[in-house]
Amino acid sequence: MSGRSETGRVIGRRLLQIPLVLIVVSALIFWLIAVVPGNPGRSVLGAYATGEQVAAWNAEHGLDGSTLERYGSWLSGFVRGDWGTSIMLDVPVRGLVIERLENSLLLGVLAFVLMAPVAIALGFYQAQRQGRAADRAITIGSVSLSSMPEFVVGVVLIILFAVTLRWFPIHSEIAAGASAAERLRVMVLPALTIGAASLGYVARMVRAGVIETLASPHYRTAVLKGLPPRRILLRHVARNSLLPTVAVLGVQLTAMLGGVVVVETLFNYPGIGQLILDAVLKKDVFVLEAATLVIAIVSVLVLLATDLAYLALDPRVRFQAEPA
Amino acid sequence: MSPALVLDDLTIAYGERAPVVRGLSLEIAPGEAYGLVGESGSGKSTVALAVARYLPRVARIVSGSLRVAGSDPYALDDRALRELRTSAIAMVYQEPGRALNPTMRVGRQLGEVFELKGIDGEQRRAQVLQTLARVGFDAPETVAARYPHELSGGQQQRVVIAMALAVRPALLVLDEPTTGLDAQVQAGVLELIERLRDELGAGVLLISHNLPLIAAHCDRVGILAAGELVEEGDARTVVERPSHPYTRALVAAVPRIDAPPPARDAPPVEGAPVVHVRGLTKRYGAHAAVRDVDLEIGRGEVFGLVGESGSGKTTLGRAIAGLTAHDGDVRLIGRPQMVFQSPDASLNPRRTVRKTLARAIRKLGGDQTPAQLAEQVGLGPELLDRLPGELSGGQKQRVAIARAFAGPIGLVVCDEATSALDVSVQAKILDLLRELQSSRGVSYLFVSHDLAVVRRLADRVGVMYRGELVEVGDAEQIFTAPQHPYTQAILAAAITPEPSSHEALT
Amino acid sequence: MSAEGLAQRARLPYDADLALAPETVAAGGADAARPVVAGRGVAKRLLRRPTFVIGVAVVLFWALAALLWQRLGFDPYAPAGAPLQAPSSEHLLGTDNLGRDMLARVLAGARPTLQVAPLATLLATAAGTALGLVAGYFRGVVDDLLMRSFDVLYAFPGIIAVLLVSSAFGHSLLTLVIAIAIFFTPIVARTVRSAVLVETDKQYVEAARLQGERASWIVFREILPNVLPTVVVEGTIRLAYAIFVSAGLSFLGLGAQPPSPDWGLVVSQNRIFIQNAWWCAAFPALAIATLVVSVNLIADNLREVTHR
Repeated sequence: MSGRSETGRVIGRRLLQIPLVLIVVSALIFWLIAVVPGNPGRSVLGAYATGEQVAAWNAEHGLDGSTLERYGSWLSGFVRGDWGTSIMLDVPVRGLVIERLENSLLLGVLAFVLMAPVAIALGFYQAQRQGRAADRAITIGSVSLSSMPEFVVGVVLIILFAVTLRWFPIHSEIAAGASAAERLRVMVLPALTIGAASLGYVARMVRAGVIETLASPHYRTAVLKGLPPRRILLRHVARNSLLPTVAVLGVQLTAMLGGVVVVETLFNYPGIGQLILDAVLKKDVFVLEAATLVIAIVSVLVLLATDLAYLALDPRVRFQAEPA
Repeated sequence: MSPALVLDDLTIAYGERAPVVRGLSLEIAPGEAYGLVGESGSGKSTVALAVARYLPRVARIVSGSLRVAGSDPYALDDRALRELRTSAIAMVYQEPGRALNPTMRVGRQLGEVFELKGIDGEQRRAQVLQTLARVGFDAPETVAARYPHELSGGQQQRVVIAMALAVRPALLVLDEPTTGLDAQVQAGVLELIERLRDELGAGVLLISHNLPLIAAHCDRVGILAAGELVEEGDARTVVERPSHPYTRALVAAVPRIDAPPPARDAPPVEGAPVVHVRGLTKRYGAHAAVRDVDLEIGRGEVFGLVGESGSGKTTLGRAIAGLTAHDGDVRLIGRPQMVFQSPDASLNPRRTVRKTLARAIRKLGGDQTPAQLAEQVGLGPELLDRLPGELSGGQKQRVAIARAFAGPIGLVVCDEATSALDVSVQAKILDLLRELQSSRGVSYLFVSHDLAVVRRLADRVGVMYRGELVEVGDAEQIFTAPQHPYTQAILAAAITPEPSSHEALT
Repeated sequence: MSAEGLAQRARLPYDADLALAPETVAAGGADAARPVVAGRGVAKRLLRRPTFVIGVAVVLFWALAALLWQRLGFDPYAPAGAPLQAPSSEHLLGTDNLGRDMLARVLAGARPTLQVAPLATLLATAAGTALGLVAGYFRGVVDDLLMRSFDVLYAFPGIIAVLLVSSAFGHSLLTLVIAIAIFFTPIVARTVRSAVLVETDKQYVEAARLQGERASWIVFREILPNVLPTVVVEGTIRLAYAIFVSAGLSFLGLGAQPPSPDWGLVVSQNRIFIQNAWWCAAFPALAIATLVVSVNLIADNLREVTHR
């Protein structure tokens, strides 16, 4: 049969799609940041600068010329690794963005590591108790938790664990030369906050997947073979019931990435989300362009990675389970 | 040696509702094949689940008891129950594709049965391959390495049977094991089951809606109606001399492939054909679902179109109705209407019967009221203001037929129009279709996989095979003196549910 | 977890025997009807669900607060006492750093939230439904564009998309409404589209085509009524998200501006006092939480009642 070539086709199509998507995304970013708000020199220098000053500033930063030329030079600069200089900090944008991105990715990974096992355990537990009080209570609780804005959850966590119990710091700045343990300590609360935003959705997906598997004829086959419960769970239930979750995992992971703006601002964590907000407020177009494009690239790669994971897990290659 | 299965006065109910199985008693001796026949809602599948102790949580055994190979599954603890399942009971169900784990290779799934018997390593692998060979696979190594979705429906069912065989059970329960499979594949699977029964000496409980199939493969037959066993006896006797009124009606309702249909009141009219098709081809990419078909259907003629799944018969019907783009020339007199297979999907669930019919009358230029139209298809006026969700399957199909006959029309395409219905309902719908055809003088393109149903209605028959119309002829000639080897093969498979040919592997 | 429990529980009835047996020969063709009623009595069933009733009550409470706080004599702007007072009988929710009554600010803060989110949701739901119907029924270019727009949308995770749009066009409630609406429209459209695809596959749509119905009739009179439950549920979920997003942007300072009592803004401004005066940040945060959770409860109940 054509299982393998089908897989190859899907991967090939995805790989072709990525550059196209990124070109559209970069144009959109450029348009929203550097074209719509109008004259960048004017908005940086303020209303009292003279026309010559503004023109000189624009020329100095390569912001004169037609929109298309500016877009072209920005994109080619980005590809070559020349991301410009930050207006607010007067340092090269590239180093700044990459350092902040690393911090945010660490936070995201920690959030996922904390969230996933809990969500999976909840999903399996709920599926077992389907329709009973415990199931309903957990659904309401976890979905409520995930539907609240991150700063609400964050404020509650701060009040509980930082103000009252004093287990973790309120602010999550990373001091220069902080040890790994120290860094981990400041990351726990923001990571929990980010993880909470996905917990309810992932738990719900897992629950639905397990329920579907338990109702399936192939689960019946496994039980009626006389297999012991543990083997049924590991061989016949686990993989099949996690498939729908893996199918939407990419979107959940990128949503986590999106959550970093609010969470990093709340906790003062030096990640790319905080950088983006600073750049918005201080009109630092170069930082904003680079940082949002980097986030977009990471999102696209995360989606690709989860697609590949799905392909590896499901021999049938079915993509009809579209992410919600 | 204890009987393979004993049911004693078994009564099962779901929740607090009326029991779905009432006071059922039967006994199956080792090596005996017992057929349990019933229509949907008769409780037959509940019996299959009860035997394996796999009833849904809401179900409860109200009274009675059952024994499989001498032990009561409901009296066993978990470990003993697993032991019973690994050594005494094996089950085969409908939808073999879903009965196999989609993410595990076939060989490993089969191997689990041997694993439970404590057979490991090379020995297990050898047994797996040997078992696959026994159920008719020529290349067991290849099959063992496949995932279920890489096998055809018939192959999947062979794998499920191989798992049952590996158990070496005292009782083999088969719940609609061939429903959904093509006639030739079905014949092969049934032959395999019979051979295995002889080899293993297992008692067999074969559950099906299909009376002729059961009669051909079982020693004894029980007829289940609304949860009660209304008749039981020797297979031949029950079919030939049914004693209970329900059984008599059931036997009468079964369409016969080997008997000519009753004479027609209104034979086809000579003259210009209602349907004229030349060179019809339908491609999906490189694959041609229908290839270069020429076809004519006369006024007042019933043209039966038969073929196995994937033969292109449904695509041809849809192309003629104008529902799908195609190459070639289709000329029709009048606007075609269609009656579809699924009664659930063919009516808009948000619209009452009255509104559906009124709209159809208006659009098709009819001159009746919805009530008159409903009456013609045997629906009482009290049903007019119901939504489809409040109707039974047969009633829904009657509404769909009424909609097709709402105005003056030339051709009705019936696409498996009775395949989703119970046999007794099917008989009535077929009678209705015949009656309407005579009184209205329309033509039918009657698409069906079921040769017996086609025989009951068709004047002429076309046989589709791999997208081509391989044989066309008068119904009488097709059914009594088929010319094309493929027609001969499907007829042979349909008339006697005996093996005709093994399906090709791959 | 107990795997044996797993084996024994949560097993769904799979068998057709659960349905009543409407047609048997014995019944002589007197086709008995099933008492299942689809689409009727939805309101009644909803009102029997406690979580739905609670959700509606909370949303109504905040809607009334948004409309009536002035008439009830609450003043969210003027100092009403000493700054940073803990909750007391005089100030039920305490006071903030400028001595303003937190209860007044929390009640008044319902207004900006309930201005932005419902409007954005309404726009996105209307546009998305139209787009989804067209894309799902006609497929073709619209459908391709819609699906491709998703690949782009996924590259702007979470709040970042709305943040970019609203900062490009200036920070005001109106831009916020439009930004949220723009980014929710394809999401609604895709949900509606998949529901339309399911319906279009059903034969009643083909029967309508054979009957000679026009495309507009089929889309609006045959398909739309059947996807309406999906639209309602999706709209409710979007409303919850719109509250989520607009509160997030306000928190970042990109929505309402001081001295607005907007919840997100208030939490953001008062979080520096969190160590000494937790109530300043906690109560507005709690207010958002109750509103979002209530909308979600309503959405959940709607889904369960209409999609069975």
